[in-house]
Amino acid sequence: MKVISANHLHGGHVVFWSKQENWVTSIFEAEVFESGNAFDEAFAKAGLSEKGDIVGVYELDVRLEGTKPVPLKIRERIRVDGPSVPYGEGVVLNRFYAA
Amino acid sequence: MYRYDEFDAKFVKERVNQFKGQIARRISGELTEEEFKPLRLMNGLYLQLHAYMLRVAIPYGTLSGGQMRMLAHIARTYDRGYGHFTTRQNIQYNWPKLEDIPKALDDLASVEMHAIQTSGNCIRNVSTDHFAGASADEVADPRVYAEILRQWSTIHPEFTFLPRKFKICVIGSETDRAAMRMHDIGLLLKRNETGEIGFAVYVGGGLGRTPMISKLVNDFVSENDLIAYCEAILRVYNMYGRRDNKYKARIKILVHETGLDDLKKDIEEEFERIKDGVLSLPEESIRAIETYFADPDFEDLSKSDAAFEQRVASDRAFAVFAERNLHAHKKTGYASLTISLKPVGAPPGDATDKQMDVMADLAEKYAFDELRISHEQNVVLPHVKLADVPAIYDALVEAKLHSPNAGFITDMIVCPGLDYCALANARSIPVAQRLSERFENIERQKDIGELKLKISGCINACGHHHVGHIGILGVDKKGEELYQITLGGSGDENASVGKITGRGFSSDEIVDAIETVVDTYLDVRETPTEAFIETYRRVGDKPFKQALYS
Ligand code: SF4
Repeated sequence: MKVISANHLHGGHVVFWSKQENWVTSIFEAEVFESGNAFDEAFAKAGLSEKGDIVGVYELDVRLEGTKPVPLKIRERIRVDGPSVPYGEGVVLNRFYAA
Repeated sequence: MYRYDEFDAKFVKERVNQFKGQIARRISGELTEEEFKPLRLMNGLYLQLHAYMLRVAIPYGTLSGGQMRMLAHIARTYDRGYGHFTTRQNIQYNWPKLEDIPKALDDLASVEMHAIQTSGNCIRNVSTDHFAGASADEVADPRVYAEILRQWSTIHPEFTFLPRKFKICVIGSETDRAAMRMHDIGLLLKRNETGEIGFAVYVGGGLGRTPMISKLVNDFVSENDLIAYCEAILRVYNMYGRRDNKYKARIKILVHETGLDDLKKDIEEEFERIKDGVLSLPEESIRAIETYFADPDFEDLSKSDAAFEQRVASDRAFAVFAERNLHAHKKTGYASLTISLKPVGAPPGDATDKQMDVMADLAEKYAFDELRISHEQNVVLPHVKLADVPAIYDALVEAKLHSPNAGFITDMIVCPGLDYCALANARSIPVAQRLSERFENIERQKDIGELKLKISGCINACGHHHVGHIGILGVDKKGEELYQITLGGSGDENASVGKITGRGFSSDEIVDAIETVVDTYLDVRETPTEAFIETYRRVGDKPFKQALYS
């Protein structure tokens, strides 16, 4: 199974091709394809967005966990879910190499 | 510190305006991504996994309090409240939006900063020793020459489209704190028999998929020939460097494939042709740049300070900090103070906007308005009075910047890895976090002593794993993370490239594996003062491999 993904030109954020044939930020709303004609057609159509505000359209392999498409590769899982580590103010600093 | 002259200010302003125009044309659709990408990269703007990443240059890692405060402002206003200091002594922001870039660049230009040449196949930020100008062991301040090289290499028309990126490092002392031998050109300041200043010139070092230690091409190039000699090297590289294969395009491959003697002949011939011409540095120009790096108004102080000593005697945590994070200064009564950006469980090299503001305040109040970024991803206050260290420490405690681990196993160099980087194979930061937790006990770190641990998320080696006493390289195995261990690397004056121990370890196994390596070292070292790298060089990798794989 596959979904189609890209980055948004303005924010750089990750987007997915939806059933409504537009780009959405949640993978829950991504259209999930079995390979085949439907995918090829959608990929060709999604690719046209690169003339607009979309950068780097590509496909990624997923499996379904309930209704959520989950990428097979860890790289793609991190790309979908964001960094796996807290950052900025989200980092809890309360231990400082004591004896 | 160097201050922009009229030319610098005009150039940066023009360049910002030019890039603003390019961004506007991209947003309007006039430029395609294919056309825009090389332009944005020339201005330090990448598109990473989740967002754009802006890399801002910090020339030779030197900046003022006001500049650090601007970096905090950029983090707060255009990003998510933090930045990541890198091994090239720069800073990266992970979440800027394309339309905010022009404003961010305007703000940076207002404090004489920019993002030019932080990417692309050009000469990158010249790096140097983070204790430059402060350390007692240097021949001269290498930043003078780093600044001259910066001026020469900035939009150098001949070297803007090199076969590959090009990195130069200049250091002022035999003790190499800047991994000089791992650069395309490494320059070691020295004096000849007659006392003149010049450079030993090394060529062809680099990390990445083919790690190589640079080779000496000229034992003494005089200071006024610095630019002519570097130009000769770059010309030979530009002419013969391989453009057919990006993995073979660095000058290290040219040195390897051509042979040092032939390459040296080409460089010397070119140098003979161009020396004593326009590229000769006039004495007065060198001395003029030197004035920017003159010593601040140091006071005449005694060797020890009563308040400092008293705090050492009465406060154990302070004493541990002072022992690890202060470095000997050339001026009596002063020290260079390392602010470690490696607290327990945090992403190495990161600082929040508030922490950057605190560091800016401390620089202004106690350190002659100067800060340094080290290639080890820490911040340094280069000149502080011993008497002021207690007050600085208290402010660092308040800002949670007081990790007393400079040079210890938890003071790791770590690249952003798969949590941010589009090229990564594996995550680096979570491994570093778990290692910092595993080795949290400071007494244990003291017992282990000096140990350089370095982690890269892919073979590009931004985390310098090849020159870690212990290196960790993340690789991709069928879509999952695997970590290879290398041992015996070193980025100092006795540079060496680490050797892979054997099969890699899963994410779940890697921290235990590193602990096994460390425990083996503690078992086999001859004395408690024999450092890890000394033990490794004495016994080789056999006991470590046995412990890891049997
Ligand atoms: S080493 Fe690889 S993963 Fe790490 S920052 Fe460099 S390119 Fe990215």
